[in-house]
Amino acid sequence: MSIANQLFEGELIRLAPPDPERDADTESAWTHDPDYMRLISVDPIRPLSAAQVKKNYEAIEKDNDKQFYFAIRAMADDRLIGFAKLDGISWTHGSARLTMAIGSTADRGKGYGREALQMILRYAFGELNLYRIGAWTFEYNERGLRFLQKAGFQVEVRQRQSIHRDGRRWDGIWLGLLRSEWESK
Amino acid sequence: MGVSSWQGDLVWLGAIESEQDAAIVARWSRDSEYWRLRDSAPARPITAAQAKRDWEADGGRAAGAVFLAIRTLVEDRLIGTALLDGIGWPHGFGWLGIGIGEREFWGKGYGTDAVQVILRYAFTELNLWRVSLSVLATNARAIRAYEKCGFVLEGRVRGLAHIDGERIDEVFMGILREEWEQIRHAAQ
Repeated sequence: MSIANQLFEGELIRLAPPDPERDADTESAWTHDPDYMRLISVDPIRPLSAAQVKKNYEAIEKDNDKQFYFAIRAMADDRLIGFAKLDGISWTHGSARLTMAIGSTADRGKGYGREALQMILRYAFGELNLYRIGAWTFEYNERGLRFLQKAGFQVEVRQRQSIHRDGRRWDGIWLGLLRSEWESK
Repeated sequence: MGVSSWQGDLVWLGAIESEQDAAIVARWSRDSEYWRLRDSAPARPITAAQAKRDWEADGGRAAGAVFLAIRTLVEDRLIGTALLDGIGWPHGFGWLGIGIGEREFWGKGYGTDAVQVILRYAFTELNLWRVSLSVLATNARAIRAYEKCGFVLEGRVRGLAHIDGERIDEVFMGILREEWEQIRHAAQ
């Protein structure tokens, strides 16, 4: 790999800074989809207005030195299709947590997420020089689990009955990928 | 309910008294082994004033979260601190953290007793469904104590800590309310 390799531009997508003016409406629409919201967070879901989404972007901007947040944009037409972020960074121990999602069901299963994941992992290991990346998801997110495992993540922790949704309990699942595993792939 | 629910067999848990307790916590902070077992933040000695500021900064915890002093029943001596936070309310989960700063009280059941008091609070006052914790895989003493309290191994996060040039796993454990109740009934 040469230093000239593009970190932020792939074949299908690019990793871009969030652009509140352009993106707030799109992201507000995603927050009205309970299935989407329940895949990305354990917090009670709620629909957010474009103005509220903009406030969140401002908070991200303020937190710029503690988290690395990217909008995922389609190379074809530059529209917003998702996000990927690294936070909970411990520089001492070389670890961070990855969260990512593709916002609209129409954009899933098309390889956007797969490419974005490879790009953010390259950023995490090649630019931030981290030792390991963790990810947290839920038993019911079967698709997300498969997605991460296919990229080499291993299930490390199963927190029994952590999540209570729709009248039943689901395990919380922690996955991890070490730099050595990523390099050998 | 005659006896305070904050009271165990060896210790009682109460509010931090920032004036008196800060100097003691500052003394513990010189013990890097204690710090490294307790927390993954880089070890550093702190002054009493810094300890006080840290407590005050922690004021914005979620409802139900508590940060408590662990004191001996016999001499009313501060020997450690305990924390229950990271509470996820709709789901009923919380995270436990505990440290015994006074080394002479290590390995004698004081930490175990304090954990049991915290679990009673978590399950009978907050009505949580489960309590989680994480601990360095090398901290066998703590893991034994947590197992004694009923915590079950739920997994290992590989190489999460980098200490003295070595990669160390972090062990994750959890206890469900029903498990805790069974232990309590068996003890009665």
